[in-house]
Amino acid sequence: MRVNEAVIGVLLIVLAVAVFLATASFPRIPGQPYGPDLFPRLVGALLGLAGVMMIIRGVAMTPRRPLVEFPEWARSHRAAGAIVLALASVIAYILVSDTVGFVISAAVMLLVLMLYLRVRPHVAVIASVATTLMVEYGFGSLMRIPLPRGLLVVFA
Amino acid sequence: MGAVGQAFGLILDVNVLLTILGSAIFGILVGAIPGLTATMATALLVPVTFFMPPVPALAAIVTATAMAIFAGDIPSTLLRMPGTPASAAYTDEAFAMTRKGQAELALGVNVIYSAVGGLFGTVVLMVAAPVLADLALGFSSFEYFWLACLGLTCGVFIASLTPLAAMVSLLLGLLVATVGFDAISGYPRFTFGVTDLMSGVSFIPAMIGLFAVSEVLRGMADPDNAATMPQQRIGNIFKGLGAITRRYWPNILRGNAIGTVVGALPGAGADIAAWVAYAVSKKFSKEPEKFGTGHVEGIIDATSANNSSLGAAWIPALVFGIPGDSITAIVIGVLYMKGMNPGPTVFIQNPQLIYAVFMAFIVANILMVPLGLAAIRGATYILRVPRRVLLPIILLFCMVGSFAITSSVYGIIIMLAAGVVGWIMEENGIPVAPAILGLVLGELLEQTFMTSMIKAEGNLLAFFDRPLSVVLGVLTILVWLFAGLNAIRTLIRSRKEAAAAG
Amino acid sequence: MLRRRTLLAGSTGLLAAPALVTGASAQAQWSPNRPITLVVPWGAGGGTDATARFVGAALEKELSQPVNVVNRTGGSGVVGHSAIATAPADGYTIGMITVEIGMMHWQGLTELKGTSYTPLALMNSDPPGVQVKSDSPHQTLKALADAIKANPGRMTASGTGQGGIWHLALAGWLQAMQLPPDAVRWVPSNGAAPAMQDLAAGGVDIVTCSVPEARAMIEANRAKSLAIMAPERNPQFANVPTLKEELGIDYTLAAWRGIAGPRNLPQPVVARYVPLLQKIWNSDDFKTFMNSRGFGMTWRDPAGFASYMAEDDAKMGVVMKAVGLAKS
Repeated sequence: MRVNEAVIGVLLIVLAVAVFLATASFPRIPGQPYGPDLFPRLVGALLGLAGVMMIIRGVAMTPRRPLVEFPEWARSHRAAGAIVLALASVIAYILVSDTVGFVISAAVMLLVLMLYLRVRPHVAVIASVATTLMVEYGFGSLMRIPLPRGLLVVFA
Repeated sequence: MGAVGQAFGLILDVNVLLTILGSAIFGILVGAIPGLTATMATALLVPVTFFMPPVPALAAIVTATAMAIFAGDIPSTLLRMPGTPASAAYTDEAFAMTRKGQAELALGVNVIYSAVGGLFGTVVLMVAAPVLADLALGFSSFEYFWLACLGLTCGVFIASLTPLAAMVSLLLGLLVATVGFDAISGYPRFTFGVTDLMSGVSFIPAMIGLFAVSEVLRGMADPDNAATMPQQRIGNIFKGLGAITRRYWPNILRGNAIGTVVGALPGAGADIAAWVAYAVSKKFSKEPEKFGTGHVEGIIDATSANNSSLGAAWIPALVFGIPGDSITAIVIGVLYMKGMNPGPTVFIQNPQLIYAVFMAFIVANILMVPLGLAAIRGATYILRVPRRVLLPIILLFCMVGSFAITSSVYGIIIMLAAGVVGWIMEENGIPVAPAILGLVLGELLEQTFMTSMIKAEGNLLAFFDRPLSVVLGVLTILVWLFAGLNAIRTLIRSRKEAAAAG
Repeated sequence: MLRRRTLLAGSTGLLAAPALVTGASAQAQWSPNRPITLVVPWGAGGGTDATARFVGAALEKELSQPVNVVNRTGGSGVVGHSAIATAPADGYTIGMITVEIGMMHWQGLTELKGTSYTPLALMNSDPPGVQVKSDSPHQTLKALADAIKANPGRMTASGTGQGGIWHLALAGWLQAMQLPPDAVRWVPSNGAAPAMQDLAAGGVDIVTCSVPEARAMIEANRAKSLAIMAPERNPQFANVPTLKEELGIDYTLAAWRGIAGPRNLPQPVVARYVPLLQKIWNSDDFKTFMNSRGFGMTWRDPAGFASYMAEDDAKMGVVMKAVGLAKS
């Protein structure tokens, strides 16, 4: 999705205003002249300024670009689906990995994504299981990263 | 020089050499896996070093960190996933080389000049330690503030083709860096009541998301895209090296010098060194238009700088016990454990141990060349794996790497959000690298700014009150003026061209 | 080979898990059958991290189970402290809690306080010192105190963020001298190391961090410790007098570190950990380690640790209210 620079500019100004509104509720530090709001406000002000410059450039640009344009891939359902599925699989992992555990959630995630990308089924199964076990051993056992055990609770 | 002879004996011991070899392989593995940093490699080694004599213990840390900083370039070049933050500055450039079929050249340059950089840093550490440490200790919050400004300015106005887009990216990075507890006031900002956000947006998961996840998303949309160019074998790396060294020797020297100075500053490490070196390289290049298109020049500067900063970071650590970066912060603990209390006296009390550490640096950096080349040969096979299989696996590695930093799914959430944001930004021509620079330097910039403002009671002239701060401040403002004039000139020229065309 | 074995253990464990867990807690002697997590609320490389990693490595040997030291940093310690307090109370997650637990709730940063945990052992405490630049015009504490009284609001001090432990050290000291809390202006910093750097570079006048934190600069002859706010001198730094010796003020404070678990840890778990921790604390290795870093050795058993935290908590409340840092 490609948008006109002026649209980005407007979004930046909205963000800058939001920063100012949010920092308004920040407390003052007792005994200090400057509070935690000073620096975010400075950054916010500069963001607003950059937004204005973006709007000027977006409007002045010749030939003028449409407000929103979609590249090639977005018109293909399969490609758009792949992106949605990739994002959905990460979200699913975030939600279930703690209860189900790393091994199962990671293997399933890899398998689903590979099958969607039309990897041959037996290759997909072998690749997902091998990768998962390698990561579990390398990260979990060697590097001692506390990967969630989930259902495999006494996994020693 | 009896101590030097003793040091030779200490290092040329079978056990010590085996320890160095083992930790070298360990360092390459840790560095090559995104989310596992050189700092983490050191932290993981510390319990092991409890049970070792001082020389192998320190040699293990020296070797593992040097290897990790280089090995971070491998996934950075091949997959656009910086293995350690020190590779982030030139990830895009190196990945562009892979796209042109020059992955082996990019990695060959990385390993050779990393080793050269490491050796340079060691030599400086040996020769100039006390003088440099003295200079670095004169930096108060005012000097640090100007230094941070200078770093950010380099990132925006020099390293980028589109200053406005780069500035937007940088400001977004700075804004995100303010999320979480404000170290000055202890007030949680922009957390919306989420406890995890109090610790701020973790930098490494964000970096993995901005670079690697956005790349995976692009790849998922179009898995058959011929981004995997047939890679040219470069055969004998030393042949190409001669020509490159002849052509770019000033870059090698400059990168090393920058890395050494930045490394010696307390609180600034390999990652910042690489950013500054890359920006300076572009500024003074004869062909700046080639930067970003897979041009080897900037990589030479930056990869030299991040490895030379490693040795230099030991300067304040050894001389004053003040860490030059997060790795040496851990090293200082180990030094105390081994009875080598850092300080000016360490050179008098235990000179043979200090020389042995220097030699460990040299051995490690020489060993880097054969081991690194082997790792590169192995790693380029990754590019032959079909992308349909590779993309989901990369995504999993991103997730585990992000998880490793926070030990919770919070890291993965950050990674996901950063990945989506990074993807949208790049679709709209806003580069992501300045945002990462903003995240890296945001905390330092804000803290030094606030500390200085509080000290000066709001009097801005105080920012120019000290001899060192005057130099740095005036330099920064000159760069701003120059960049401003440049921007206006470009604007007028494009106006004229548009008028001529219309 | 190893991989197949773990897989096997995993699949049988799936079925055996509930039986094993109840079986373990029914026994008087608890012993862990999987890795233990030791949460550190502060970053890798700091003093708390180093101490926790030492204790973790020693516990690992004693328990014959891996002990993973996990840094849950940020939020001035809130994140890690709440990770310990909210972990399942099964003994598999413990952590190193620090002095901040008695301060954060006064500021309204968290609901957590000392009573949110099962205390296991207090392992260390470090009093603050009063550090100045080595060529400071005030070479004794008395001279410094007189200078502060003569020019209130002129001098600056640093060491932590606003309301951090070393800020309270300064505020409490000023209060004990019957001076207003702003008689010395506090310049917040991100920890002791940047504050000491600023002191050496001439950016601030005083740093009130602990002596071990200031040690590097002191030994490099860049800074000088004028006094410590402790009941007695530290044998590691025997030439530094106490506040009481110098000014006759009986004000003391300390940053401490201890091991604790979530509230309501089962009795067998506590009974297993406490003797082990005491053994570690008494070991020569631990003594050597703590001495090498200059950390103060303090031991309290669970009951003693609980009352220590309660006392500390009340003392913090008084100072924080005086400075205007407490919420209510």
